[in-house]
Amino acid sequence: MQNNPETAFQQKSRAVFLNSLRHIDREAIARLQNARRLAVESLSRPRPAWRRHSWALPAGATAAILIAVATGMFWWKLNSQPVLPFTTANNEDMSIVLGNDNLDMYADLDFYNWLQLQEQQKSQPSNPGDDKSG
Amino acid sequence: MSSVEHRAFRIAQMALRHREDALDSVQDAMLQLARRYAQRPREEWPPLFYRILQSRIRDCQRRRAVRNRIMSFFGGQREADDDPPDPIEAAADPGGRDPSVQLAQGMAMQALESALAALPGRQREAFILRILEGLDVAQTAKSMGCSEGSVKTHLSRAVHSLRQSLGDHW
Repeated sequence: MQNNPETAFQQKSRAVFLNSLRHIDREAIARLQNARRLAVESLSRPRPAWRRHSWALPAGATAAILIAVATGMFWWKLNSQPVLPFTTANNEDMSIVLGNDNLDMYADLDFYNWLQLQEQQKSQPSNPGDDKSG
Repeated sequence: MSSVEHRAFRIAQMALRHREDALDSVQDAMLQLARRYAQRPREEWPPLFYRILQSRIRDCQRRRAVRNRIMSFFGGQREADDDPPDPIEAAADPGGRDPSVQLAQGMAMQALESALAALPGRQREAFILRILEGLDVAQTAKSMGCSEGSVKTHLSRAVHSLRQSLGDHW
């Protein structure tokens, strides 16, 4: 195994690397020890609830957005004007709406009907028998 | 963790070539491991730790690349990647080891670092974790987030490239 040049190369690489560890300066060693101490201390400290359930914040935000969107859509549907489906039966209505006629005339249609009736009654000859009885 | 921290620091320093960034990365990785994976079995810690550390190293490299791009865009000076010379490193060895041996070891390490820096990222990662850190294939695969076959392939290519670039006399 020792004769294998690849294995010898790997062993030498590791030996050189491990030897270089001796040259790490004291300040760096102290900082590494301090970092390890902080890491171990963080284990004994109870984590705050919001860190323990770190999924709760994004899940809550997503749920709030979905509820807001659903409420908005519901509100918009309630307040929007009903739209009649366009069928061929509505063609007459559409011609009235799109036409250039005065729409006030259609509003007073009953009045014009009554007026026409009055004119027809006037134009009919009066009954002579009625005069006698009167 | 105490047995790992020195090697982790050197690995981070080799990747980042910056002492402070390496220390910060190791510290972050330790804290993350303690906070997230303390409940896991102890034998799972080394691969998880190195996975977090590699992620921190990549984050740091990305930040540095963006910073350098911005600095070069505004015509500023690039930050020096290497630390200033360390006086402790240059001081005499209190253990009284042979200076010529030390010099040879130091030069060998420098050559290894330079050759490692020239490798593709995944090959470098596989070599560092498997050979320098001494993780087994399964742990290395877990740490790198790939299959054991991929680890073997990356490692084989890394060793081949390193032997070619360092030469037989190394």
